[in-house]
Amino acid sequence: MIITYTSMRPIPIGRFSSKDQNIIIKKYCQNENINFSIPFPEFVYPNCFIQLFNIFGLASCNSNIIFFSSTQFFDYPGNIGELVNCFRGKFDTISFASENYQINLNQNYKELEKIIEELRDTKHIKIKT
Amino acid sequence: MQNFERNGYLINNHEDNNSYKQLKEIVEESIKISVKNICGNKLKSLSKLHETVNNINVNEVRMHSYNLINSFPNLHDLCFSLIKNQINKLLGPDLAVQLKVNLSIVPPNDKSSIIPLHSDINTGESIHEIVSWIPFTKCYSSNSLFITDLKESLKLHKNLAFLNKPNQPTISEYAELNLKPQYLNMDINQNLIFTPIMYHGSNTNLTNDTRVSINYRLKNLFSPYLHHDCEGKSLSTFYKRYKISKLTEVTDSYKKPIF
Repeated sequence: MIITYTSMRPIPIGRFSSKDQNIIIKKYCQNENINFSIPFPEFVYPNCFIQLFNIFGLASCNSNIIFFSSTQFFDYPGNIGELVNCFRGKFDTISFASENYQINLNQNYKELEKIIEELRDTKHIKIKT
Repeated sequence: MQNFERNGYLINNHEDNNSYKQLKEIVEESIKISVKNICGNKLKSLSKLHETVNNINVNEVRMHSYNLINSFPNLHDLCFSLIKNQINKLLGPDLAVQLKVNLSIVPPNDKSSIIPLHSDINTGESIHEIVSWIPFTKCYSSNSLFITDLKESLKLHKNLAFLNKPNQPTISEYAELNLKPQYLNMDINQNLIFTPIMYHGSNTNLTNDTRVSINYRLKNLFSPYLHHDCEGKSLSTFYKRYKISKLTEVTDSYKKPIF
C-alpha cells in the first residue's frame, strides 16, 4: 500500500498549496515508478499530526509512505522514539518527495529519528514566505 | 431548510433537470474521451468504468477528464442552476465560487481513491462555504460519500486536540464509535449540499459499481476566506467572484474621493 501525506500549514521550506504539493509528489512517484494515490492532508493547526496517526491506523503492514517534505516534522510535539516505532510498525520505507530522498525503515530507522530531532532543534526558524 | 439546521446537510432534487442533463453529457463525454486517449478502449457506462479502466490508470483518467470538464465555460452556471434557490437562502446573492470543479471517480476495490474522514475546515477551507456534491451514477452503500452527525462533528472540532497522540484512538476509530457515519443513498436526480464543518469521507468501494461525482464550493463573497493559517484558499487562488447583488453593483461603481 502506498500512502502520500501533505501539510496544509506552513513548513520551514515555505508555504505550499495542496495543488503544488501534489505536483511534487506525483513527479516523485513517476520518477520512482510508484502508483500515485490521493494524499492524506494533515490539518492546519500547529503541532497537529492527527491525520498521520490516522494513517498509522489505516495502513496495512509493509506499506510505504511518501511525505511532501521531511520538514513536515518540524513542530512534532511528542516523543520521537514512540513516533518512529509507529512508522516501523506499518511502513518499510518513508520517502520525502521534495528532498528526493528515502529511508529504509527496517535498516535505517535511526536516520529518521535523527532527522526529526534536528528539525525540532531548529524549530525557531522562521517560515519562508 | 430546517433539515439543514438540524443535520448540516440537505439532499435536494435538482432544481433544473435540463442543466443536469447538459452537465452529465459534459462529464460523460469528457471521461469517454479520456478513457479512449489513455486506455485505448471505449467506455460502456460510467458505473461500469472499472471494466474498461485498470485501477492503476484511474487517477490519470480522472486528471485528464478534470481538465476537459473545467474547460467548459458554462460549467459553473450549469452546476449552480441545480441548487440556486437553496444557495440564495443560505448564502445570499453575493457569491464566490471555487475556481475548479473537482471530479471523483471511485471504482470498486480501489484503495487509492479513499478519502479519509475529514472536515474541509481542518485543511484550511473557509468555515463559511457550502459544499455542493453532484453524482452521475447511483450512490449507495460504500460507493457513496459517508457523512456524520452535525452535533457530534461540532463536539469533535472542539475536542480535536485529544486525538493528537499516537497509540490513542485514531480520528477514524473515534468517528466510527461516536460520529455515526452514514453512507448517503442518492439517485442521479438528486444532489447534496453540506457545511464543511461536517466530518465526511469515502472508504473502499465494496459494491460492483463505480461512483462518478463532482464537487465544488460556494460562499458569500464578503465572508472570511481562510480557516487558520493556510495557503491557497483565497479569492483568486481558490475562489472567484461569481454573483453580485444589485447593491454590490452600485457600490462597485463608487470611487472614493482623492484629496
